[in-house]
Amino acid sequence: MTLRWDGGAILLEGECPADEAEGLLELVLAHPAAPIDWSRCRSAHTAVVQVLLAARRPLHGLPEDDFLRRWVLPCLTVSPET
Amino acid sequence: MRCCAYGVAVVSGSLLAQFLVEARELIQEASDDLLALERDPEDAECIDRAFRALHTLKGSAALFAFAPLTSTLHAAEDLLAALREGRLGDAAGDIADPVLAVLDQATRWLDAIESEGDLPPGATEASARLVARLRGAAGEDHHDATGPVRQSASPPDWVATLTEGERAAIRGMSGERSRLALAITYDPDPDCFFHGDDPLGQMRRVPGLAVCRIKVPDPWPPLAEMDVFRCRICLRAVALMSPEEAAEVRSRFRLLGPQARIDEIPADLLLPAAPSPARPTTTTVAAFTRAVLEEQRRMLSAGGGAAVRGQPGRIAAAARVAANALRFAGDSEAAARVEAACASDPALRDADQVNRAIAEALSPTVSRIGTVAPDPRGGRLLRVDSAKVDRLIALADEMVLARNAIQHLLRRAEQQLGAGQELVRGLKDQHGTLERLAREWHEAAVRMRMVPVEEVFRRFPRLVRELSRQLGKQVELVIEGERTEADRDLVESLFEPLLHLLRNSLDHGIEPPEERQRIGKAKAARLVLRAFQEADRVIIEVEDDGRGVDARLVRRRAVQRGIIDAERAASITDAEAVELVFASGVSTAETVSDISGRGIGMDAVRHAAERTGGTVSIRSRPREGSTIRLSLPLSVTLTQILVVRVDQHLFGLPLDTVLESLRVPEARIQKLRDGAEAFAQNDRILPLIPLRRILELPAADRATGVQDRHVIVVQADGQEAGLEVDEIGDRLEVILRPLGGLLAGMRGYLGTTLLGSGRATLVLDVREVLR
Repeated sequence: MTLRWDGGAILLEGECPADEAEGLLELVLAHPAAPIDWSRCRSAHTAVVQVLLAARRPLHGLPEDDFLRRWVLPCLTVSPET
Repeated sequence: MRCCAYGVAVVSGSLLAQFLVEARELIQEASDDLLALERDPEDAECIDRAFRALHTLKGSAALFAFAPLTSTLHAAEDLLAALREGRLGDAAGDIADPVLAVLDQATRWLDAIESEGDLPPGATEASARLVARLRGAAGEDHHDATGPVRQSASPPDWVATLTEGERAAIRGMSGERSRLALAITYDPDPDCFFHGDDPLGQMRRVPGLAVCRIKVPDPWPPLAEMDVFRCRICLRAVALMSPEEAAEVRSRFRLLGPQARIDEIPADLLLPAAPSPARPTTTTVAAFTRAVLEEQRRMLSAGGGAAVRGQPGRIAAAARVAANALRFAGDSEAAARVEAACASDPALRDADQVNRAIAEALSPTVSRIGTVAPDPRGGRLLRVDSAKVDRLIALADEMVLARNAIQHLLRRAEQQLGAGQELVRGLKDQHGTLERLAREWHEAAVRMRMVPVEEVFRRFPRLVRELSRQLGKQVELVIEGERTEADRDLVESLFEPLLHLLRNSLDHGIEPPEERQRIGKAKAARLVLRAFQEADRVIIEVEDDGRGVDARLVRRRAVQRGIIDAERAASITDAEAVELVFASGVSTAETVSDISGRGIGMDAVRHAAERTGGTVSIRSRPREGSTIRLSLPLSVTLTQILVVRVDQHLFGLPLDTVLESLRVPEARIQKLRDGAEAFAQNDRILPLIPLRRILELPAADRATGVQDRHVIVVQADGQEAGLEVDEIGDRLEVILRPLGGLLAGMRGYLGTTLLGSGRATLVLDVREVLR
């Protein structure tokens, strides 16, 4: 399972395909305070990354994937400019 | 049928029909742009448009399983992509021919798909040949850091905004001398996920990424309303790699068509930013638009709205300015939304609403504004199925019939009740009103069918190009007045005659380049196709600066072919002689060439013109050139006819050919030697021709006793005659329908019409009748 809820955090694991984007959005809306743990995420489709970028939830861990770490992570941790 | 994870593309009949229509339009657009490129190879907008057209074509074709078509279009798109990115060098000037060949083949394949439902056999081989030809035109894929590759426009402007940190990262990676720095500008379509694209996935596979900016919309839409399958990010990246890697990356990104571009950037990024090119760039346009929009917002919200309170005019002005700026930037959708936010009723106008609409227009990523080419046609036109317009005209026609029927009934009422009767008078008045309304309705409906002659003219540049090559002539085709409008049917019927006239000029009128040079003319001949309105006519002229028509030669040929006798040939003027080219059988070509010169062509042109109610004439200036002039009615009009009866048959004679209708007493008729008859009228002797004989109806038994003959004096082509009929009927205003189907092209009749009583009636072509 690439996307699941473990009772306290939303987990992204392995290679997350585009279809997971909807599920991710639902989880994010259902649990407004929950963080997203992507430490075991090896890759994510743009649709999934878009939800991450839009939701701006606290992140746990660093992804295993170099691309996500180098290029996506900075977008998620920089505070949005008004 | 193709299924992808995010949707299902089902091939249905109507989808295919739509594809065929759009594909043909795209092919025409691409052809126009390619021809324009031949004249101006540096026109970047042309290149871009042609590339987009091919890209869209290829994308649509891929929905249907026509592999040879898709692969051929793909190869053509690749070639144009190479042109767009400046990688063709000297080969750039020669791409028109192979790509036009592809478009021709695609058209033929579309025709096959339309009639047979599939590509013809041999399509795969034909496709392979075309693809090979296209690859040949591109030359070797010379991505060679030392080779003289022509640079395309300067690298995209965002490159100039690279921060010092980013430049340092790039420098850090560019170690060996042979590494290329590529700038990748990737603006994915919002629905790219449905095409199986993963933009970040694409970037992930680019080797040597030194910079990768992910541009996100500002602000993001509310989370609860987010459409997760709409791609809203853009990417800007710089990567360093070997030439081989670069070629591989290029070909991968080429599949994305206009969504992405790859530019090589100068390795030394410490140089100051390149000066902005003369043409406004994406960023310049966007910055300008942004500034204008923000100014309008400032104005609308100044002092908490105080500036515009109670001043609906200023709100409307702000909306208008904002919309214009958005259109200039190419975003007509946003422009329309801003205009919609401004209520047309001044009392309901709301500055906040307009302000919000402008804010929304500002919010998508700046780089998106300016990448969409502005729609030159604007938003004011309505696209209507032509069948609907035809239906309106058919209804208008039927109204005219009903009106005529009422006229018929009115006459009977008059007879039965007396003309003075109040009821009859009242009916007559209303009939008059009805008559006027029916005519106006018909005119308005017919005006809807007016289209610019451009629709038929645009097919000629390509054809003239091919023909002039075949004939070894150099010619410059000039088109004037292509926006002149005429009835759609008329315009469509012009293609064959005009084609023939152009062929004729090219074949016979225009001299070979060496001859032209020898006699002091410009090497390239000038061929003009011109249209303009004159009163209620559309005039189309084909003019060339060639040899002109040799009047002597035409005279001789006309006599040879028995069109006129030697005596008449001697007596007519040169101008009249030249008009004889329109007579059947006359051809002044020494050898009948494969292209034209059989002599039937010009005759067919005249017939085509006359069938629509027009005329054709020619003016020739020996050694200077000729001008052929078609004068056509502006639209399908109501025709006035005179109804006549022979036996139980009714026929119509066009009223403009009728001089008088009279009864000729038997005593005035002179019998001539060969059984023909004549009579005197107005100091002239006119032949008396029984219409029944012309129509090959059986001879009548003339009742004994002195009886007057019913005669219509008609004229055509300068000739006059009296047509004898059994009875002369009413004058009517009718819709003339040209003969169609099996009867089309039959001589002697202009068409048919329905009389008020419902009888179908043939309307005679008096000129043919008198021949």
